[in-house]
This record gives sequence, structure tokens and C-alpha cells, in this order.
Amino acid sequence: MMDQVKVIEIQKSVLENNDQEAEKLRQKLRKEKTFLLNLMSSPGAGKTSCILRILEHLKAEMQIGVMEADIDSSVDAEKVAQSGVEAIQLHTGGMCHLDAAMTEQGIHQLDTERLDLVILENVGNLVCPAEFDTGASKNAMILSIPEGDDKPLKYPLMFSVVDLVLINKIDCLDYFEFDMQAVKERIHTLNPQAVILEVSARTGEGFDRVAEWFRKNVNQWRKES
Amino acid sequence: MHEMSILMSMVEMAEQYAKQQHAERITGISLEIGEMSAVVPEYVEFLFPDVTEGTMLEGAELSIRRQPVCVRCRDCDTVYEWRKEGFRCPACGSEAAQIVSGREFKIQSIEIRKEDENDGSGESH
Repeated sequence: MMDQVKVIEIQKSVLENNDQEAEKLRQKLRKEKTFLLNLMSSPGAGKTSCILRILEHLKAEMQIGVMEADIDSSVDAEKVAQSGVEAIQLHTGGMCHLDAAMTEQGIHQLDTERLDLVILENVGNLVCPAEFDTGASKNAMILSIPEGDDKPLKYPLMFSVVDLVLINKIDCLDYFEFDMQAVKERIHTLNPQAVILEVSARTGEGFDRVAEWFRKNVNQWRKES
Repeated sequence: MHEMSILMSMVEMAEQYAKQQHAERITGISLEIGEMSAVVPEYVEFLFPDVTEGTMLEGAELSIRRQPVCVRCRDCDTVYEWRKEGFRCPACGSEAAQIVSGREFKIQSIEIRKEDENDGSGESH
């Protein structure tokens, strides 16, 4: 007997399995008429505070659920639950992002069939979450003023995969050298379709327009299903 | 550190292909990693021995090819390298850009070893 050595061409993305899982989840949610938003940002940009503002505007008119992903702890889910909206905590167990399989578990736990909108708060990180399709209907990110206007140059992938960018903490614009015009140009260079909205989760400014974006997209999703 | 979970998927995928060929071992694997992929090649090399231990890939030779980030100009269709030009088209100066490569984490090929069963199996090509 002789050993036989052979090279097999594969040429396939290792993330392909995740992409397929994500697509399956998207189809399921489409059938259920549940809009899933994947919200990303670096730690401390204000994901949870922005979610609370969005809930204020929308909770009377649609059924909403929130999934909070964190490496550990459940402080975020508790905060959201206090606002009267159903929230679950997903622990990623050390992982820096959510993949489609973990998102699916959360969706299952939330029992989404009766929900119009689910907001997924991804792990605070501008790198890895951009890489993994969660199965969301749309992707959004938050860039906060103190992080600086050069973030789109440093994390181009994140800015190129999102549909909505919230520029948060505009109430402290005076204290930072943040060129709003330049940041918008940098984002649109990477991603001409991105909608950019200026907000302050602290004062509530700008969230009427965010709520409008949600209404429009949730309705669109329903019509498409 | 997501390299670990991505590498576990990589092992799964490689084994799946090797089993289809009735291989006993995978003796080599070639990966393509884009420069804008969130996977760091040094980590991949570092983690590879641990992740492959006890799998068909144990002891396999790892080779990694970096794929540069290429960008297509939305205005004139020129494709250029991001590392050299940033997001400004060298042909027309436009900054409207779309990333066309450099995000991938791919298995290009695997090298498998199987015992030649002296014909009769119908599995070899």
C-alpha cells in the first residue's frame, strides 16, 4: 500500500456557514413580519441609552423586544426591562461579536412572532461585529462625538456595512474638535447610501427622526414579506 | 478573540471536504486572509496547533496568503489598492469608493493523504 497525496481546491469563505445561517434567519423573520435591527458601536458610545430613547418614541405604537449581547453581566437588559419593554440578555461567553447562530437562539427565546421590531445590541466593538452577518434586516451603528471624526478612516469596514449611522452626544460638540461635515463626507465616501442622523441620547434631541427611520423601515419590511 | 471560533469553523469545513474524499489526514492547508478581514494572521498561526489537535488537521502545514484591499471607483470603475491610494482614485481623483476585495477569510485548498487501496474502491480519480 502506498500513501496517496492530493491537493483539493476549495476556494470557499470560512464564514459561509454563518452567512447561510444568517440568510435563513432573515427569511424566517420576514415571514413573521418581524424587523430585526443590529446595533453596533464601540463600548461607551451610548447603545443602551439610544435604545431607551427609541423605545420612548415607539413602544406605544409597536410591539418591541430587545436583545442585549454582552460578554457578561445583565445590567443592560435590566435597564431596558425597567422601561417596560421585554428584554433578554445574551452572553457571548468571551466572544467579541454575535454570529447568526447566537442571534437565532435569542430570537427563539424572545418568541418573535408577535413582535414588530427587535433591536439587537451587539457587543461593543467596531471590528468583529462588522464581519459577521447576524441575520438582521438592517444594520446600524453609533459614533459618539468624543470618539473623534477619524473613526470612518480607521474602521472602514464597519462604516461600509451599515444602513444607519447615529452620531450621538451632539450635546457635547462644543467640547471636542469634531468636524461634523468631514465625518459625514468620510462616511458617504465609503457608503453613499448610509443615512446619518445627529442625536443626543442625553437630551433626546434628534430621536424623532430616528423614530421616523424605524417606522419607514419596519413598514417596508412588512410590505416585502 | 474571534480567531478561535473562526478557526474551529475552518477545521470543520476542511474536514468535511477531506471526508468526502475518504482521506485519512489533511497534511496541508492554504488560507487566504484579506487585509481588511478582522482575522489576524499571527493569531491564526499561534492558535493553529491547539485548534487542530486531535483533528484530521493535526500536524498539517499551514500557509497563509494575504489579499490586499482593492477598491473600485464608483465614478470611473478603476480598481486600485487601498494601501497605496487610500480612498482616492488615482485615475480620476474621485473619493467615491467601494471595497471589492480584502475582506475574505477563505480556505483556498487542502492537501490530503489517503491510503491507496489498490483499486476497487472507486473513490480515487
